[in-house]
Amino acid sequence: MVQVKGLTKSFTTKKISKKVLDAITFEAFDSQVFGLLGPNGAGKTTTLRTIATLLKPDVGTVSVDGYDVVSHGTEVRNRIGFLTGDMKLSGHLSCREMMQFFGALNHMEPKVLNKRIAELANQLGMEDFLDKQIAKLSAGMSQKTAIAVSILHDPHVIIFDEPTSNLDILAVKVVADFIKDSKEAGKCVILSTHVLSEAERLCDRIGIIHKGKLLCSGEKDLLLTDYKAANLEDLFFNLVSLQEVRNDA
Amino acid sequence: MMHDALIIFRKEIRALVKDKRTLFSTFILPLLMMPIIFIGMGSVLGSIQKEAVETIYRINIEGTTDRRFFESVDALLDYQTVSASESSDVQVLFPDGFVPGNPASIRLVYDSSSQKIQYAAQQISTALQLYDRQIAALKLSDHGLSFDDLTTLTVTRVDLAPEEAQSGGSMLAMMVPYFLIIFLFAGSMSSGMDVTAGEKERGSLAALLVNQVSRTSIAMGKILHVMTVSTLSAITTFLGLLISMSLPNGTNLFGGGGKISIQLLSFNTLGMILLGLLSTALFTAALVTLLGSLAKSVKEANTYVMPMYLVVVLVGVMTMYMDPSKNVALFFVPYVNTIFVFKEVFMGMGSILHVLIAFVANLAYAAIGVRLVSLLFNSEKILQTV
Ligand SMILES: Nc1ncnc2c1ncn2[C@@H]1O[C@H](COP(=O)(O)OP(=O)(O)O)[C@@H](O)[C@H]1O
Ligand SMILES: [Mg+2]
Repeated sequence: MVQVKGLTKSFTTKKISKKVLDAITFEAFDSQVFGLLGPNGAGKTTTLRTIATLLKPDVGTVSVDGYDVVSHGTEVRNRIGFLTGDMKLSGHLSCREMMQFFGALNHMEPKVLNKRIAELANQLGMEDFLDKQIAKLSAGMSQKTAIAVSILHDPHVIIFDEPTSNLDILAVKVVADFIKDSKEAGKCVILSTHVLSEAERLCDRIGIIHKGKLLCSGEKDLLLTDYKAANLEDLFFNLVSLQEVRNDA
Repeated sequence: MMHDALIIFRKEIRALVKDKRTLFSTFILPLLMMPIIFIGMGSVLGSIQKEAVETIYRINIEGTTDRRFFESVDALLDYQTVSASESSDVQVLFPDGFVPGNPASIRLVYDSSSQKIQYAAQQISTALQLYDRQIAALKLSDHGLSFDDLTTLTVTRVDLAPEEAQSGGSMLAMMVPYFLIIFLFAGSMSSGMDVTAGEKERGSLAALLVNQVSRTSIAMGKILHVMTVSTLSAITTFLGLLISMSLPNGTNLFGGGGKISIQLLSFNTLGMILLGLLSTALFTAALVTLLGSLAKSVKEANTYVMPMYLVVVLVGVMTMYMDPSKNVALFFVPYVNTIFVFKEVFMGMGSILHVLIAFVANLAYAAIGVRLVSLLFNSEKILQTV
């Protein structure tokens, strides 16, 4: 389970400070997919990077399975798998070697590691290209490899930042299937996307973020009924116009 | 911590071994480049030289018919004489009423923009000197003297410098440290920027940073890798230089002193050279990795690393002609210390104290570098850019 409470974050570039996240609060539970939705520049990546210990909150707290991301970074990293759409594994090592490298870094026993590699290769359908150089793989294949590397240590919380952004439809299906499997296996999955139809299919709970503010969060179906929206797109535009009316007032 | 650093180091080396193109450009190319350039230059120069010697020049000689002059030109140059009205390569103009043995001023007229004609003029000028000497010898013998009678003093030099430090050794002491340091820095640049800024560009640094491995281990693993690559590439580049200088028609940069005497490479001196080289390599790797980590892209990293490279080149040039110094403070300054350690070793006056100061100082700076890189990996500054 992931808890984000009052998360506020500013970036300073050229002495100008810009508030990128403003008191974001939400929870994501086990055996569910939480979707963080919003247009480009809304603050999705910044939120997920804070959960993944790559950034530190200015104000507020973030915890993963009860561990605070600032004070217990190592425990948090132990429990999360983090993957972004633009994170590319490349180079001359094969998929297997890359997985062995990350496994060694996670201090996995060679025996356990090799078993896990075989298991993941089977689950993700990687057997055919396991010993091919990563540089020579198709987009879908290298995305599978990236997924495999990020969940090698069997993390309990899986954080995917726009995992389908650079992918063709075949590769998108790989990711979607994987997310469903993880949810069924009891994992807590957090996913960000600006493709609302994708979220519609995959998510149990959602949070809509716009210009650094969380406009709503909760059960997807409840939110749709509450705001009398036909789909997520509707919901998003309703919320944005509400917000703007509020700002004008 | 070291364990994790070694895992990262081994993975980088493994990836490098499989990367044939990078292997070629970092190790094989530097080994071959110098010899190829030297052979190329040597053969081009050789063929220009050959052509200059084989040409038959058109020479216009006015104002003398002295057989002795023509004979001395004959000995040095293939030529045919032409009259003043015809076109000629070189004109040799003796003054009107020239009498062999009387003082006279001879004019050589030629176009120096042609290498070949310049060669011909040079040969004629030598011929004139020989001719002059022949006549002078005759004049001396009229007085019962010879050239030997004109020399009353001879000088014998006794060089007190150790054998290694004499001419060849000191050339070596000047050039070798300079080249090694430059090659070392150049060799660490591409790999140092690739494992930092390059990984940021590819988005694969984030994959490392969200793992449980400590950031100090990441920093150390990367620096260790850069150090290994740069040391190996400096050594192969240097070998290339040595090979090219021992080539028969290569230009000999060390003026005949290129042969490193066996005695010079004793166990002790080799040890000192290695301590200096490795500690500098470690420091350089830490420096380049630090600069690379500050940048968002390889392009940006270049703008940080290039100025440092120029500083190192400058330090090398400035210290090249300096004598080894008793000033201990020098051995605390990175790069300068190694250059002086090398100088001392090549001049047969290596000092264990100086080597140790340099070694410990470089190690300390490298440790600071490792610390800074790991702080950087922990700080938001780098994390915002991965
Ligand atoms: N390292 C950074 N420095 C300065 N501004 C940043 C940085 N990272 C993101 N931002 C800004 O923060 C805002 C939110 O970015 P981001 O979280 O990447 O949005 P999203 O992932 O929703 O597209 C954007 O306006 C972006 O320009
Ligand atoms: Mg984003």
